Amino acid sequence: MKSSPGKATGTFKMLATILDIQRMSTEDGPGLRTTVFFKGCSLACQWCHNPESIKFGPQIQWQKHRCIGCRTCTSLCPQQALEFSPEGLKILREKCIACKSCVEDCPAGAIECKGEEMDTRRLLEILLRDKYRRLDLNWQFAEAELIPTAHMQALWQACKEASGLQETYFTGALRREE
Amino acid sequence: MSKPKVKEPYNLSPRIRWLYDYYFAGAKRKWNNEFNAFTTGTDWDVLFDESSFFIVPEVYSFFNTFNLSFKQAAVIIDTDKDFYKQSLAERRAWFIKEAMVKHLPKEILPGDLLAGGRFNLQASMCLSKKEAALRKKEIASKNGLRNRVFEFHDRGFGNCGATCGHLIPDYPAILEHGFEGIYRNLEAKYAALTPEEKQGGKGAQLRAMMTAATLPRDLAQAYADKLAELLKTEHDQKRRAELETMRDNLLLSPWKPAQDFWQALQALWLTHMLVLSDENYPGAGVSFGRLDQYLLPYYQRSLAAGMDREFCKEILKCFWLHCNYAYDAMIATGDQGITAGYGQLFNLSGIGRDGKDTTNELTWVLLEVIDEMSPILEPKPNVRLHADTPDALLDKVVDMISASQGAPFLLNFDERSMAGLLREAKKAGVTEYIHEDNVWDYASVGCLENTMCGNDRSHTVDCNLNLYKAVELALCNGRDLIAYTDALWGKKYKVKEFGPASGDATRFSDFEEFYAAFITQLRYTMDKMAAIYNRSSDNIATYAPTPYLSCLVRGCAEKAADVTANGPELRFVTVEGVTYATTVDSLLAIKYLVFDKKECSMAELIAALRANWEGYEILRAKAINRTPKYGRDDPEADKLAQRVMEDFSEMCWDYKTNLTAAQYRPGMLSWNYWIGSGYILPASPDGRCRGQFLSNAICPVNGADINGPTANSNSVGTALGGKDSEGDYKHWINYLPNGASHTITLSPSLIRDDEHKQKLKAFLRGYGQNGGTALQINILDPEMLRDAQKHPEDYHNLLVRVTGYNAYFTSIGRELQNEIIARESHGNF
Repeated sequence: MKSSPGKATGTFKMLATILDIQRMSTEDGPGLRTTVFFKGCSLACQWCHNPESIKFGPQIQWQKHRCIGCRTCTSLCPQQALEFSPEGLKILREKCIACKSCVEDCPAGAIECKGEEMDTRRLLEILLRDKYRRLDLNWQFAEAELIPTAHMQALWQACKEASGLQETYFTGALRREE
Repeated sequence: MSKPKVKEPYNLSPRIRWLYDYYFAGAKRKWNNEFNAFTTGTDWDVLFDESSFFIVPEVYSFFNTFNLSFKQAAVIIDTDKDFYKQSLAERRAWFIKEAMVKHLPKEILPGDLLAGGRFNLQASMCLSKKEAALRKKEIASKNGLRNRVFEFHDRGFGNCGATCGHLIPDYPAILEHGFEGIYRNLEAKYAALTPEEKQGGKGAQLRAMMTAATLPRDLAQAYADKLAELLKTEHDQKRRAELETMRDNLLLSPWKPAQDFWQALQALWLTHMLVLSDENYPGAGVSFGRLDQYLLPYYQRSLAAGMDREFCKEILKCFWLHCNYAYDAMIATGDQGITAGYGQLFNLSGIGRDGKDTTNELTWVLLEVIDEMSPILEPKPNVRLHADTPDALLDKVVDMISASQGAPFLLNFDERSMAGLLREAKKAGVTEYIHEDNVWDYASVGCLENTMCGNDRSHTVDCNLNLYKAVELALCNGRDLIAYTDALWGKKYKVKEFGPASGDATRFSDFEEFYAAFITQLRYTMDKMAAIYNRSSDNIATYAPTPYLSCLVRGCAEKAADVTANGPELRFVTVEGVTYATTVDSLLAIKYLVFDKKECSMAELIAALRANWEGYEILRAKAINRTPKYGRDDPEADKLAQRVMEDFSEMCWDYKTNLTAAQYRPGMLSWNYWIGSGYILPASPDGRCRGQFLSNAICPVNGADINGPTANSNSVGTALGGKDSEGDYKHWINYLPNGASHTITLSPSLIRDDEHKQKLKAFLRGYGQNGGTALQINILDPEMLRDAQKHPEDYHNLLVRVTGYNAYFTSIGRELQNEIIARESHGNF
């Protein structure tokens, strides 16, 4: 049977900002899971080791170990938001508008954009790639108020409707959008 | 921090402990199974058949040394004056029998429960003066095979040559009917020949096989005599009883059918080791097939008769140690002799006749033996998994993988494997021998190559073609990109023959034009390979018959033809496509960099490759980091991967050998070639520099599979054809009947507790649905490996998976060690 997930609820085009998707994640609950990390955690803990998850919007990030020092990024930046110093690349956050020019043209893939806008269809496509017997939907997020966003509810609904899924689990929570 | 723990054997009786430790004393042992050489004493005699080593480039430089030194060390066996009037097969059958029965010493190690110690043989090829001259011309003349093979290798095409082993003899027939049954059958076949046929090749072949069929009987008798001699001085009552049973076993089987488990294992061992003697090449992929299936009745009979289950395991453990003595062949070179070149594989479990799982009580016994003996190289277990594999078996498999750095076995996946064999049956027109009702009875040889049992010689490692060479030639209109040098002398090759003109790549206007050029060159590389291989296949069929092995392969007696000729019912030559992912990623890079994104021109890319990327660092960074890659479950990239796979595999079906009329078939196994060829082939468009390793078998390029093991496996499954409503077997499609080697390295954290072991189990279940034909898992801590490099003395039995085979980590070269450490790309998963 092939149904069209999400069609009934008309949620395919709903966008969400995704921090990361980790396939074959073994650490966030039972089974092998695909974990979707949304952006917009509002806890802002002092010890946070993923501070890029706090802001809702996309942010660029520099990966030192990949950089070949070619300066393509600094020459392209329309905002002059990038500075190369002996310590490495400095991103002037107040100037950066996350236009992604540097991300797109970095030959080494050393500048990444954290926070990709994805619609439900795209997310679902990725989630279903590792579907063998059962799909567990689990978003790992801040354990604050348990109010799933509209997009997450839509995604859950779409997954439930997707063909061949005998069991769908929805666990995890997300804080209210600010 | 305490040192990480390497798996140790356990639950060994004092007897087995002693035999185990004795084996691992290696070069220090007093007794060994080093090659024994025997010659006819003629000045033209040849012992070492270099042509079976054409697929082993690391020994190319030793051919002359081996040739001369074996001959020098050889004992002369006198032949009678009419010797050369007989056919070659008859001479050879007689000579091997003479050497094995009358010349090789018979010894029984203390406490051993099985007879059959020495079997590594370098025996005369028994050629007449004229045959020797003809063979020499074919191999060693200027345009001879040797030079053709060296050039093929040194210019980066790969390697090829007809070699031995790599099949599953019809062992169950010996257990069931004994060699006497084989002999009677040959006699009847011979009697049915016309007088002309009797005088011709058919008669000669059958006579040779009859001589060969009596070899195990006479050897068993010789060992029985040895046991009688030991009994004269043995006073321990318990040991006396064992020796008596061993003697009685030998007096019965393998000549007569085996009656119980002990007899079956004794018969199996003697029968098997003589194959290794017959081929003068110990072990190379001579495999046992579905051991837990055909030994089961004997096991049950012995249990019913009161044999202790633990004692059954004790005999099996002796069997295990016997298999390892294949590695003694060149033990004088020290423990380096114990590497990984052999591969006496056996399968456990799998789908049965009625589609149901075949796990039985003996499967469990064998798993216990594997676990208790591990780490040890031989024999090599391969567990067949499928959708209905019982949970208990999978749990045991995962437990064993967890405890042994992943080393104890290979995993074969039935659905995908059977799909490939059913496709082969249709493509080759052999549905008579492979069909829905018997394909479940397949098994694997050597590393993981799928074949049928007892009637199939698929020459699984004989053609190793670097697919990437075709990309290089397509970039240069059929020419080599760089000047290659002769590996032995360091001289530059004067190339006399290039590939066809496939067009000036700098003028191509779209990727399709380039792809067409790639296919033209791929066809050329395969033509070149087949031309050499067909000669080497004719050469072996003409000069190297193995009449003993022919007794064990169905079809040979019926056709009165040797297994090296057109005897077997199923005859294939497997083209192992090497450098697959490097090829796919290079094509993807050309498409992305030159045509889609126009990051550079074709001319610039070619210049960058010639410069080994020096001065083109930015372009290289783009090639590595920006281009799509195979292995990420990226539908676009994997579509091209599947296209390359389909085109390569379809091409293989176009070729056949001459004398042996064997059908070429596709597979992907790279043994260690992807390492060596990495130093030969120039830089590639995927960003690889010359000297970096190429991709291994069907695995993605190291480090390219950034989306983790499930994505990696999905890509492999897609490349093999994926699934469809009309698959080759149920929904599964598989372009590679031989199967494909897929190695994954996982972090030890994945199996740290029971909850996580369940995750590995889930991964394996998923792999069966969407992955490839065979999987090997390394669970290695890079720290442990680095420590092993520093302190090899503490890690002498650390086994690692290389590709389809295990090796002792400390015995492999530093480059390969580093490569295995570098594979730790899944540390985060």
